[in-house]
Amino acid sequence: MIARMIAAALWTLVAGTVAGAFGVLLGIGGGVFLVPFLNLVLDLPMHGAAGVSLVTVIATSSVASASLPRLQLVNLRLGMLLEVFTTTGGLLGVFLVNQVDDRSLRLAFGTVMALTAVVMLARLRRRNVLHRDTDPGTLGGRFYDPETGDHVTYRLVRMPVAFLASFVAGVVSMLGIGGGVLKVPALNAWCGVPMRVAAATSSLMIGATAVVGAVNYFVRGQVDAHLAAAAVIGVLVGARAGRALGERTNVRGLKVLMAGVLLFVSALYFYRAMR
Amino acid sequence: MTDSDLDRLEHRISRVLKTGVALSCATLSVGLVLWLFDVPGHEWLLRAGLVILIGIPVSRIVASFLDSVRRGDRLLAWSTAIVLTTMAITLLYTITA
Repeated sequence: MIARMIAAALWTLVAGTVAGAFGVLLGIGGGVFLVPFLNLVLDLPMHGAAGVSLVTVIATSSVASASLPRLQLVNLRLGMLLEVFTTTGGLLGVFLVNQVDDRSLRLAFGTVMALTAVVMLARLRRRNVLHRDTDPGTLGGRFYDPETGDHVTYRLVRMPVAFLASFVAGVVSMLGIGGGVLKVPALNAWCGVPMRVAAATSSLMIGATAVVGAVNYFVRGQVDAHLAAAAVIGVLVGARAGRALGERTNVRGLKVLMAGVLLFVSALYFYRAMR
Repeated sequence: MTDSDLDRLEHRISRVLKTGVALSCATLSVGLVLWLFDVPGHEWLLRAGLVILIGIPVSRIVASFLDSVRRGDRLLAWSTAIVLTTMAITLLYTITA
């Protein structure tokens, strides 16, 4: 029994490392890889898998945002305002996940996986930068843009879209994923936020959103502490490796491959849920 | 928010995140090693490590709340207060449900 548990923890450490590396390389977080591993391979219930994954989301969010150059890209005012919507969405998500069974959660997760694959392939990259002397407004900002070699300005537009995307991301995050896969494209494509700022701001926000879900699963005794510890350490090692690999990897080809994997896993979830 | 205010808040947040991650990682690693050698008390350490980890974003938001109150930044103060309240409601709901 103990030997099996240790083996499971070691496999989780390896899976966490892979999930952390791919999560950073593809910019979608490790949850979309870790949850299927815990649920389909280790046969953990969906609630338990989501709980372990959310704990790793907190770890990656904290590490990614702790570096000052990265933190300087974060729009703190916008992030903290949007956290109101992600955490209230998270609260609704907590209420929903506690009402539904494993089968419904699998169906929801399969849907989100398919959506993630589509978003990952179709993600637009809008520059959304204005001249440095432009007024950024209450929730816009300025940052150093390496492409122009100068400081640039951006303004937040279509605020309700940002609020709605954040709320939905908060609900969805209770499945064990960060929700950045919905927020970042919405902020970039519709709300006037440059991609680097949207990714950095979302990265900080997902930690707070994940707290809401993690507390729920942890207090209800659904988080296996051994697996969670192994996953956290694995994800942190993997995220570091992912950052190093990202500087010399063709991420475009990898995205197409991973989108295929996500669609396959999504189909697997639908198949299992329907059986 | 002036540049120096922002700079100070960024440094504070960075410090909170770095300290929290280091503390939680150390606790979780020691807990895992003790578990491998079947040392009693490892479960407590693992749980403590997870609680510290979950507490990192909460500490970051508390730090931002205090900073925004001190500067009189109403938008940030209200936002962080609502987020902290939502977290507290989640905890209460989870305990009582």
